[in-house]
Amino acid sequence: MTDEIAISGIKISPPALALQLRTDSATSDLTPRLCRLLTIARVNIAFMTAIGQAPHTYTLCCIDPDQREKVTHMVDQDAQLKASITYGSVLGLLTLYPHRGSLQLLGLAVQALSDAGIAIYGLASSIAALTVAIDFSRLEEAAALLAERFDLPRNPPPVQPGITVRQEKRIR
Amino acid sequence: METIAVYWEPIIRTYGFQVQQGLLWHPLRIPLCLLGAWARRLQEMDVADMAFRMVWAQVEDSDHLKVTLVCEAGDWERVRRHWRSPEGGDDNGRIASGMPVDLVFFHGPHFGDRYGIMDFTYKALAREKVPLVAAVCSAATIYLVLPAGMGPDTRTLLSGAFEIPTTVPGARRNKASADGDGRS
Repeated sequence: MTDEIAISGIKISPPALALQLRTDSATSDLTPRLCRLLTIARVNIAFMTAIGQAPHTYTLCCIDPDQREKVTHMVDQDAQLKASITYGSVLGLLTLYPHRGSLQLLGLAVQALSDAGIAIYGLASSIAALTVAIDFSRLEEAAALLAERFDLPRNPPPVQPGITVRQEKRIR
Repeated sequence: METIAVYWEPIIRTYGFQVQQGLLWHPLRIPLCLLGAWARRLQEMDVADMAFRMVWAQVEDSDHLKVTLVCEAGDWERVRRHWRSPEGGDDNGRIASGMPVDLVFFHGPHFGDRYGIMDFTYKALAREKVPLVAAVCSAATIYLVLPAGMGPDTRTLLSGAFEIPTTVPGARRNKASADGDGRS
């Protein structure tokens, strides 16, 4: 086991609805089409992993749950998309930073969540941070757990998001 | 308190595109019941100076998590002994040498909070029929994983589609002074 790993902070996200998109040999990769639809609906992608080349692709895409009705309505107009999308549970994004490209850090984070029985639905690094998608109901518990396992500064930055970005159509 | 800011870009701005070549892609299929054991083994690795270029995971089915590592070829030689499922073997039941890939990644102002950026990216790639191995949006970063050798051309392509500001505020001030313009 390694010594405690130092990180600068942990962040948790607002709730995020999981959209799971699977394509098979009967369809092309529908991920670009989903992204087009979300753009038309002005819905942000909070997190996405899209892996594989047509015909076999799997995409996990997280959006604001408040947008579900609007997105569902639009998806329902597209038979192929509708048949390929599953609406998953409400997730939360747990982000720790910086990861410094450390596999030990990845191991410690995954082990801490796994030991607590917290399911991991997705995970991805960015330039500096490692983000894990877990059940929203266990997000704060998970953040507290990681705060215990990692070496944080004495006065770490707040875990909750400081600002909320809301995108609306500009009316002149 | 609510503060409203209005921000509009006719062409999406980025802080520029970065390309990394000579990378290897290593997917690993891990039974969820053995995830803790696998994670423990990762911590025992003596590779403190090795840095992954990218890592991500997805639940593949109800029993497995698929974790993919992208790293430099030199680093893989040191990691390969550990990057295997506790069941033994890797994605195909054997330790493969990995698929060669290029990575193009970029980020921009509030990319994690804005709609339309991935759509814009896909449209730019589709115009030139660029095949993607994977695309990942995490925090404010977008990663594109491409077949080996396609990174530089893809960067050129995207650089033409996005706007990359070339003047930093300090430089603009200096230029303004040099031009005798009092604006800052």
